[in-house]
Amino acid sequence: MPLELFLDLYSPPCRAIYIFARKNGIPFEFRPVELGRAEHLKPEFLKVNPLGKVPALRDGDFLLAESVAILLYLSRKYEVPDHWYPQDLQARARVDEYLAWQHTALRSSCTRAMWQKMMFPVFLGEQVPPETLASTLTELDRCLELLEDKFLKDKDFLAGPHISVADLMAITELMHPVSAGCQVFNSRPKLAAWRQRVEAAVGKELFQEAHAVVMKAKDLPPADSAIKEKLKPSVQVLLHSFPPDMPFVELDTNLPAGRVPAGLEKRLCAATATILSKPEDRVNVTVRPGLAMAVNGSTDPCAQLIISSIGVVGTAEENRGHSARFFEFLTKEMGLGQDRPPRSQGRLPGGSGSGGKNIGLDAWRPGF
Amino acid sequence: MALELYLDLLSQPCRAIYIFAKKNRIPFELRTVELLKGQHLSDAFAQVNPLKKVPALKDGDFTLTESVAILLYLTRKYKVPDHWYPQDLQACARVDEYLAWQHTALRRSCLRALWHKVMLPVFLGEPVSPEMLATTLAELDVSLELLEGKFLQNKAFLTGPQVSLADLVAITELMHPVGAGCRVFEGRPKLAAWRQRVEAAVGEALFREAHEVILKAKDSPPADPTIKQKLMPGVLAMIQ
Repeated sequence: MPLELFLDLYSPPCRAIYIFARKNGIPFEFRPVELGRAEHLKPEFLKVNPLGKVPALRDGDFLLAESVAILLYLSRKYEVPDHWYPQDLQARARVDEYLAWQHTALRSSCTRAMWQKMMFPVFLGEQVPPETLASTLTELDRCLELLEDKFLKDKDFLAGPHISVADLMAITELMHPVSAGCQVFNSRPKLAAWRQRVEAAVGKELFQEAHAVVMKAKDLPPADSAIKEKLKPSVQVLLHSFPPDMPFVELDTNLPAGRVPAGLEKRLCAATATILSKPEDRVNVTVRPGLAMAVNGSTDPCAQLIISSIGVVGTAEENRGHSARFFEFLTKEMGLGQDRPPRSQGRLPGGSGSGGKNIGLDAWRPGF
Repeated sequence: MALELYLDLLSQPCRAIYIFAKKNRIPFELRTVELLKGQHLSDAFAQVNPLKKVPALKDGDFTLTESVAILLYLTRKYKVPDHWYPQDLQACARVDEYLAWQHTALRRSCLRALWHKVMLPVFLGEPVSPEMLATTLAELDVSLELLEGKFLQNKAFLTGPQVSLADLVAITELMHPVGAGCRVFEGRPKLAAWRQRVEAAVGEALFREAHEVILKAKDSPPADPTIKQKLMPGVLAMIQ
């Protein structure tokens, strides 16, 4: 019995495996598993992969799940050219590093972007709140930055001068949001150039063939209710924005508690929700009165506001806009004077890993 | 310059790497990065890993992140016994399969169990609703069932008759909810027996040493507000 690959070319890892097997002339039987008809949940397929996911491989008696494992198995068994998974210790480690990282990073944001922008509304007839989609697209942006800055850098391919399985996994992932109309490559010349190189290395025809199905996903007829029922439980999780939008707001002041207006924290919650366009029930506010504070060497009455939020776009201009509105709010609430405009710090600590962006508003003095 | 491993034994993947390196007598300098003090967010550590995460490895000029990549690098460079990552095509594929699956399955549910049950309320002073905790523990249950039913089955170890990287990665994951007080092995005799075998294969003293920190996690004093503010966004992103 020849090698069997259970695939649906809607799925990015299936595309990676398809391209890899075809490019390397690996003989296999294509076993289609139509996700849109919930075929991955049927008993016959669950015998092949009890996890109910594509891709899956059957080689005689040997069953294998997980795209990374399948790619490595094929690389070794069919002794493909070295560059796909190099023997060199460090080059191989770079491929492993990418293959590990992508599970919880690029894979996640590409899938969510495609589903929230297209599959939920078009296929499942479910509207996705604009804030959720916005948050997902921001996260996708962040992953694309990491892809460029940490992995690609100034190399021709992700792990070195030649194409490897890492590039295959990455490119097929990125075509997912592309199929939903996301402009992944337009403003990223480095990534666009890398894409050209990967397509050329793979072969344009094979690349196009592998992506024919997903590029037509936007023309899918809506799913019938039976299919919807079957698919909903497993795709429900894709509706959440990632990561969660939970702004943390802290107002420190040396004004004693009695001088701070009652209920300020609740109103600051509402103001934050409005200014940052976040749901109010996700906003966290702490007001700390009566602190010993000195600002610019002076212990006159003052206040300092610090906001941390994932997903707040942290361009200097946007930060200034937010700062101004917070200043306006606090001026009204606390009767602060405007003898000196606040300096918004717009500091961005935490790099990409923690994802936190701080808009630090400088202190200002009340006008009394 | 000797091999450097940047670790915090609070972190599951760090424990797997620590045990692996020590068990195989791989010479390394331990560079402790204390997560609960926010040391991973420092500029100094960003020089090592701009992603600000542990574990990280530095071998001369070569820096590597991602625990699976690090384990495989150490396996190859130090030519450890075959059973850790077998040459045999199918045996190796089984280890790869587990190492790939766990990222979005067991890792995720063990992490959430620890943070929802203990670290968020106790260390960060952020209460977690009973419903949220119940959901998390239910997800953990599902992962444990898959671990037993799909991976372990009736074998001595997850991917065959001998201990491999897969078992190390899995056991250190499971000690996370154990550290939170979850009774992971009770009512699961198969898993409990597997745990004994893994501990014996690794060495009980080394296993205990690697898990001292996580077993004391629930006694962490509450974080001061500055630390809390620093850590919160990263924690939320991590447990999403």
